[in-house]
Amino acid sequence: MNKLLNVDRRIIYVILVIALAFPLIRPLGIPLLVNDSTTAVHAIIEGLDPATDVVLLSFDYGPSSAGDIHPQATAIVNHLTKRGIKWVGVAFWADGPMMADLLIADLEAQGGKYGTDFVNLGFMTGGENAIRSFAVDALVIPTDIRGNKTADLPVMQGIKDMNDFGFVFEFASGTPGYEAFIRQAVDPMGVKFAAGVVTVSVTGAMPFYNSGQLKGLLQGLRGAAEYELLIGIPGDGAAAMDASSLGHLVIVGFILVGNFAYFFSKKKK
Amino acid sequence: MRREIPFIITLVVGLVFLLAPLTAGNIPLVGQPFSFITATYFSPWTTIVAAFATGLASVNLLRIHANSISRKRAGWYNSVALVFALAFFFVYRTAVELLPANKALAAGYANYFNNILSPLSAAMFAVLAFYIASASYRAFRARSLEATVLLVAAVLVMIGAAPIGAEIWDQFPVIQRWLLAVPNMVGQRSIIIGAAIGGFATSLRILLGLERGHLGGE
Amino acid sequence: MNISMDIWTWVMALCILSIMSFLYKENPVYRLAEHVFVGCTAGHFLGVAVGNIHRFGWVPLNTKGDYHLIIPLLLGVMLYARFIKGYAWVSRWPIAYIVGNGVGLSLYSNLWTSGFQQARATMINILAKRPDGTIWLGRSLNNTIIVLGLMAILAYFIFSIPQRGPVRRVSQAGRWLMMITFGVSFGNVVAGRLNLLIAQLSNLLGKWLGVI
Repeated sequence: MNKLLNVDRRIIYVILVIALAFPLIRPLGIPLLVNDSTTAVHAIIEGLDPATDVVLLSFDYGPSSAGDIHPQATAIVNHLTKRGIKWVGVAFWADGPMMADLLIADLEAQGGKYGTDFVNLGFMTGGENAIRSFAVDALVIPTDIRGNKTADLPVMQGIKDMNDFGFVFEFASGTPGYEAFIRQAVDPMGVKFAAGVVTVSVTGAMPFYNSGQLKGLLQGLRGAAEYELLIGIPGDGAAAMDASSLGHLVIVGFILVGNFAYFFSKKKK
Repeated sequence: MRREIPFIITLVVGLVFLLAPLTAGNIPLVGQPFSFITATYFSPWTTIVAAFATGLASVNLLRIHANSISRKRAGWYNSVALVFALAFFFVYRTAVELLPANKALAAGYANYFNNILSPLSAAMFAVLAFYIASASYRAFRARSLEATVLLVAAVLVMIGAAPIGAEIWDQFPVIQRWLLAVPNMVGQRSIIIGAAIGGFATSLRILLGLERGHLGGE
Repeated sequence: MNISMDIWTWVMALCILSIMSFLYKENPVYRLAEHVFVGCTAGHFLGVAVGNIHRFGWVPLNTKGDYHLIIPLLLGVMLYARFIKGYAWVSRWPIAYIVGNGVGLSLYSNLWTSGFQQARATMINILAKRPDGTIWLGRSLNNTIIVLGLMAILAYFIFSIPQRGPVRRVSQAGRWLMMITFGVSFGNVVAGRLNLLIAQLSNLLGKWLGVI
């Protein structure tokens, strides 16, 4: 029992790596159920009119949480592209524009027109104050990330404040995040808003989804995988789900073995 | 004066921002509503001051490590690497920001960002998975009834959230969703409401000058 | 296996591996990578900050004649007075400005959004009915947990009344609910951390080693 209680931490690490790497190399194809909160986001985008609606995407995450959120961003942008819906990217996190640019590079390679189909307005500092400023005046950001005048961009025509967007979606990984959007744009202005959050934040976002302040919610990497399933375009989310399954099983196994060893060693004493 | 003026600044700015969404009429003598003052002046000002504040931490870091190099403290060569990386990324990023139309410059910076900063940052957070695994094995014990409730909830959520959970027993995802949407939602909501009330009280104390910790000591 | 020949992919892989080398034990390669990471991040943030000052301050001041922007530019410079001995107090003005903004912006909106709106969302009918008018037992049970649970947890957090008698029993129920909440949170933290690790393993196995 003592041996079990004092397993070298590096053995635990190796077991975890094997459990995660194996299904990445040899996918198991475990089926995935879709959450209501994911279906809600999908339904909103399906209900938009490509001729009139422009979507605002707020890229409020960086490389540290990209593993959880970037697949969500890819899936949402793929859905918008599939439906021919224009989008505007903005960021209230300093790394956000770099994340948006990763998607824009792919879209431009596929023939998408920057400025007409999508745009990256870049980062605006100031957290919640910046969100409020942008909510009441979408032209408060004078130029986009490439130096074009915001007011002259074709995709920005007819957009004065956040309510002029058909739908606002935030990829949130911390502060400022979805709560700041709710405080400054959703509750005072009635903006139609949903968010994709890191898995760690899902628990905290549930009350806002329940109250209707969030119209939909993508729950971390699993949310991305579910969304990929709904739009029929598999991506990084779906590919990671098998590894996630085995990883969870291994951690549960660690908890059970650890407790088993703990109780039997206590009984012996 | 060194403490009174900052207090007056906080009070005036705070009141203007507070009243902007609550009032519609013009301010006497000013002839404009509070919302005009915030949208035209105060909010854009904050954007600029906050940008200066963003750089504050970097400048402080630079000072500490420049000091470490000049005094040849233990591990000073790591400080050289830090200062070099900071200077390189600062100069390159500033050039990208000031010359936004230069696509080659932006693409070059993206290479450094995506292949150096991004993996370093992502890996730093990814290693936490190993610590969680180790902690699950060594520390997550059912030592009391309450700890057992916590442990059981965690295990059910983990199995239910993983796609394989539904393959083991089709009720695992149902239980996970219920735990997330009902008991967890109530718990989180209570915390949110409590924090809102606490935040309101703290904000009011700051506005009234009863709380001046942010202004530092004498 | 189809190992990448791209130099940037190798740089990416080495960055990931140097950070992960800490898992074996503390070593100089990790220390170096850690310092490079902090330096890169600080440099990036500083550059982005300069860009924002230029875009939102300098350009409108020079091209549109927004002379009022001199005030925040001055306030911003004053922040750095904290590094000058004897003049640190000057930095209190811009700090006071930022704090005033934050307090004013969130004082009402936070109470409304997180306080009143959340409380309102809890004011639901405990007895839920199906479209045909019959009582929906499962949903009614959930509604009961939501309404009574919230009150129980709030009772647990009220320290201004003694936790005795019925209050103690109610707050004890709140305590159990909090334990479930923390358990659910822990489960999600595990999932979140695993996801971040999976992304890095995908990069190593896919982009670098080419085995995916």
